[in-house]
Amino acid sequence: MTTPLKRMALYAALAAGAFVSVFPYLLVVLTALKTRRQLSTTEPWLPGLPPTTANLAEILGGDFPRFLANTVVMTVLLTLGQLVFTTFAAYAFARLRFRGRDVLFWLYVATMMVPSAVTVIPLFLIMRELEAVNTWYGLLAPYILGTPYGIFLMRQFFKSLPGGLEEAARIDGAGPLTVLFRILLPLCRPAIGTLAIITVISSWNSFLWPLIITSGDETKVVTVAISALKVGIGVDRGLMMAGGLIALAPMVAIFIFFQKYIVRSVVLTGLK
Amino acid sequence: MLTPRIRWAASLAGAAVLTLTACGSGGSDSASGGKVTLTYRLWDEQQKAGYEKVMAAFEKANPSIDVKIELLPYDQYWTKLTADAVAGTAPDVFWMTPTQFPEYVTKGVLSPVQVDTAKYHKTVAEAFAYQGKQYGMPKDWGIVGLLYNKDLFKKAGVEMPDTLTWKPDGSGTFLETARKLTADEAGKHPGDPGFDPAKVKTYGFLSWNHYQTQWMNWVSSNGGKLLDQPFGKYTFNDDAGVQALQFGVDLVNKHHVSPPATRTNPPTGKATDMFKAGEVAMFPANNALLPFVVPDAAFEVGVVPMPEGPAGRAVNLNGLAEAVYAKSKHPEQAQKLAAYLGTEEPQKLMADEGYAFPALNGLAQGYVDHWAKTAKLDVSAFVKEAEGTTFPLPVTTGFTGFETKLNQIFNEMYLGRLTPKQAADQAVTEGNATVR
Repeated sequence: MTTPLKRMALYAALAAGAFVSVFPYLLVVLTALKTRRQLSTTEPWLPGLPPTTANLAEILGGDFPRFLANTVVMTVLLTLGQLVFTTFAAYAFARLRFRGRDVLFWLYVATMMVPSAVTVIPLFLIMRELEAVNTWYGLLAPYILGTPYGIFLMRQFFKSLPGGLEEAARIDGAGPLTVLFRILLPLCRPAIGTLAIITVISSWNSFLWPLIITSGDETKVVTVAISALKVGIGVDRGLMMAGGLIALAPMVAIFIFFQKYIVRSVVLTGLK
Repeated sequence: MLTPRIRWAASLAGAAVLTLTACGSGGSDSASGGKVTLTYRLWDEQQKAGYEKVMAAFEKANPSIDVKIELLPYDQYWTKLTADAVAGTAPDVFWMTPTQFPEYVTKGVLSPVQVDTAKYHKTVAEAFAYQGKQYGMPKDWGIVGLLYNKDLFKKAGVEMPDTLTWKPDGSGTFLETARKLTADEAGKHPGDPGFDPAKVKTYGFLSWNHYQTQWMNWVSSNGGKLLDQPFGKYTFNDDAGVQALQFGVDLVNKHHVSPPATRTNPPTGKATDMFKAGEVAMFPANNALLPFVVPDAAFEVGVVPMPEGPAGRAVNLNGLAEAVYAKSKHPEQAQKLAAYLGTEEPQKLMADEGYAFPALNGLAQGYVDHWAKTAKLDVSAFVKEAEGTTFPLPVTTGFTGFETKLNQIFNEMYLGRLTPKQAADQAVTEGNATVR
């Protein structure tokens, strides 16, 4: 039974939640469009009038577009790698029969328990031995072969498909690869879409690994470039927020257009 | 027994590793065709533009050397430098601060540099000396001066005295001026009957827990010493030190000329923002902060020397150095670059474009002229201070680790929860435990 009062309380709680979630983004937009003088004379949550695009122009006039391009390249490569390798691995774990399959799978999935910050130093040392520090290879290698999360997601989806489809194809003489490409993948489109979006977002936002492994401009990504705007003693917040706004825009667009896939990934795996 | 499928996977993995190795070895350090590439690392986005010009001039004079500039975020600069030093991949030449210097020099990361110390500011050169050798080419310095809001002075009808003086007992022109500039909503000043310290509209001064621009200056100008000697132990808990700390805290909690510590304590405090918003009349700051204050302020900024204490004026002068990596693959070229960065041509360029005061003597006017020209701001007070007594931040091992703890203890002191004596004793004990 919903009484009007209950409904009102519900909306009030939701509105408060929405405000808390949206407020940081609002601050980014407002700050990016203020001059430095406006920033120190207006309240943070009020717009500076008239708004200025000087911050955006300044940051786009420097090396920032190049770092943006680096981020795009990194995101595309990581997403492609994730899709290809994860699909194969998940198919193997879900459908092929070999000794130690489940042990291997759970061992692999268990690595999700290890926070990524813990593996950064060993990974760095491995990359150093491979002389891949400060190269594109070092930047991409640890993540391009798929992540346990992706494999888990895809495997769960493969498992949910009826085995009869595959058996029918087998009887018609299809091998594992034909089954995968002709039968299973077309059915997996929603899961692949979800995985692609999740990977795009996490690659776009990744900060710690790019920061540690690269230091030159050739491989610098936007997240690291934005944090470099903070020098030892002070920070030009307008400029930093302009950078943040530019980096944020594609992600917000993706979220708005592909919302349902993102929600589905949570439903599928119970993970966020 | 391996199944064919696993064998196939293993060979694929092997191939991947080989590919990575092959591609990695074409890295930046290799010399191709007799040309050497040096890596130069800094953290300042703005200064990078200046150094691009400097490096172009260096490369022109040394056609066999290429310099690659790496810009790192300051917050991660030291983490990364430590990781690189451990892995052996540190840059050939990089920026070094006096407080980080002891950690790196005692671990053998830095290479000695030939420096004619007489040509550079004494406080900078001395900060990078260890066991009789120089471990960094003096680059530049920043000094603490007193920024003030000219509009607030005009509005209050107060003239800035020729010299500001302070004493632990509260006498002197400094506190008097700060009192006149502090006003509550009814326009009353501290000391007036009915003054309400809870409803202050503008504060005369900003006293807060910031060691570089605040209490270390009080301690030194009261005749106290931060350390007994470079690479030594902390001594700021003696009488002179405690009196000076008491003065800093009194400005907040007793004289009410400065905002409460709840609003200014680091790391969340907003001291600089309060000055920028025109809430505070006088604000000690390093000249390196000028680019982050002057364009932001909706009022006219002025700069005067810091107040003189019982022992005269003594202000913090923070110098940077160009350090050379001890395990550089091209030591000869790295030394050449460091030597060049200490010469007049690059130091003058960085000064004239207003990036920093150069460490090389006799070039400071370029920086002063730059600010006069671009912002109509007279910054000659900084130069005057630098000619007097100056002191570096504590040059001793462990300071960088101790810093957080020190700030925590002194936060409590500024809040009035610890007396300056208790806080200083506690801090000195904690600090000396980190000195090796």
